[in-house]
Amino acid sequence: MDTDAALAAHRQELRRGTVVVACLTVLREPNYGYALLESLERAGFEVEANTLYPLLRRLETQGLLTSDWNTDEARPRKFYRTTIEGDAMATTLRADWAQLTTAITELDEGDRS
Amino acid sequence: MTATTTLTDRYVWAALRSLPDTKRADIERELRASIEDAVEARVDSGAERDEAERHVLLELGDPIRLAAQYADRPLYVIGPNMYPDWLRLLKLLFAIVLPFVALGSGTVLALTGAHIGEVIGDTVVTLLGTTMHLVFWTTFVFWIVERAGGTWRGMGWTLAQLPDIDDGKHVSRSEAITGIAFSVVAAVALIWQQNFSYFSVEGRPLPVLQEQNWSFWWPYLIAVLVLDALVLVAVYRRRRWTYGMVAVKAVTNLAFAVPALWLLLTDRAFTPAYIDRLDWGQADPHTTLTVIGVLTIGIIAVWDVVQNLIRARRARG
Repeated sequence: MDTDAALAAHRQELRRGTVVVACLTVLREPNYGYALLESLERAGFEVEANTLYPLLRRLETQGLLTSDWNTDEARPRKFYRTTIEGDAMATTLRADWAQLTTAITELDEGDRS
Repeated sequence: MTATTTLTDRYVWAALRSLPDTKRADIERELRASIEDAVEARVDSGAERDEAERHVLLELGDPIRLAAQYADRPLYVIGPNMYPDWLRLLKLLFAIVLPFVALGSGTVLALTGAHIGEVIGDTVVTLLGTTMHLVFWTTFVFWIVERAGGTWRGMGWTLAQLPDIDDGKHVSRSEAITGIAFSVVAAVALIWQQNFSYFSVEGRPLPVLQEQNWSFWWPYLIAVLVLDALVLVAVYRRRRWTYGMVAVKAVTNLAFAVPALWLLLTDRAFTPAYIDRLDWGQADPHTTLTVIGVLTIGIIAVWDVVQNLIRARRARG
């Protein structure tokens, strides 16, 4: 595997876990499939539609999201929102994330000193 | 009212047809809405509607993959969790079943008067068939277990399963087992052929090896085979070959080979009535069997001693 391919693979590994935290965090405000995809992409999370849509359903099955069909507009859309359990889990995951950031920073700085 | 099915219709149908009915309606509704949203967004930024639809569907990708994601189905036959166990089981089955099948098929065919070409050909075909069955059924069972849910903690790997190092110096467990199995099978075969045969005369089975030798020679050979197995057990316990053990094994080899060769070469081995009933086309069964027997026993006896000598030498150095 050349360096570019290796980098791509490692980057994918790094990003793989982030989508769940991102979804749970951003869905504290209700949103629907395509709009969520767009806002995640704008925020810098490269997610594919064929990963996101099934993921939302999976998170709902796990009780971390709840959904509602919104028939206000011409096209009915399924809105997702983070549940209380989902919020709690997101908090834990974000704390883990912060810990990891600190740990990596320490490793990095420790190495230099 | 007829509606022309669009690409979207076909895509959604393809992706969701394998999903259970209860989920399907809701997922379909949502997926269609999402596709429409994406298409609209592209049209708004100037694309043609058809082109936009094509692009969006292509981006969504292979409907089978999408379906698997929705259904939480694994996209493999046997996953990494179960793969090592599957492989280990398969290798074990091959090592045990195939040699027996080959030997059994070859022997039965040869002794039931088949053409030598038939013997080889049929045995190869049987082996291939057996191999395929082993692979298929093992994989099938694992495929089911993989999807049956629950956690597979593996067949439990224990330290005892560590293979013995094969460095040519020590006697490995598989080596010992093969050698002992060989002797045991030969002894059992000697007894078995007396009571079971393809041919029968006056209601009794006609054994391939001469019956009168049961007064001494066959029991003698069986005793030597048992001794042979015991020597191998002793060697395995010692974990390596010593020159002394090589000598002992050489003696048992000779004790077997010399009388066996003598019996073969003086026409005392095979039952004439049996040989007469074999039809091997151009080859004369008696000569062929004698030659095969002499060569096999002779070569194995000598090669075994040589191999053990090499091992004893390596074990020392």
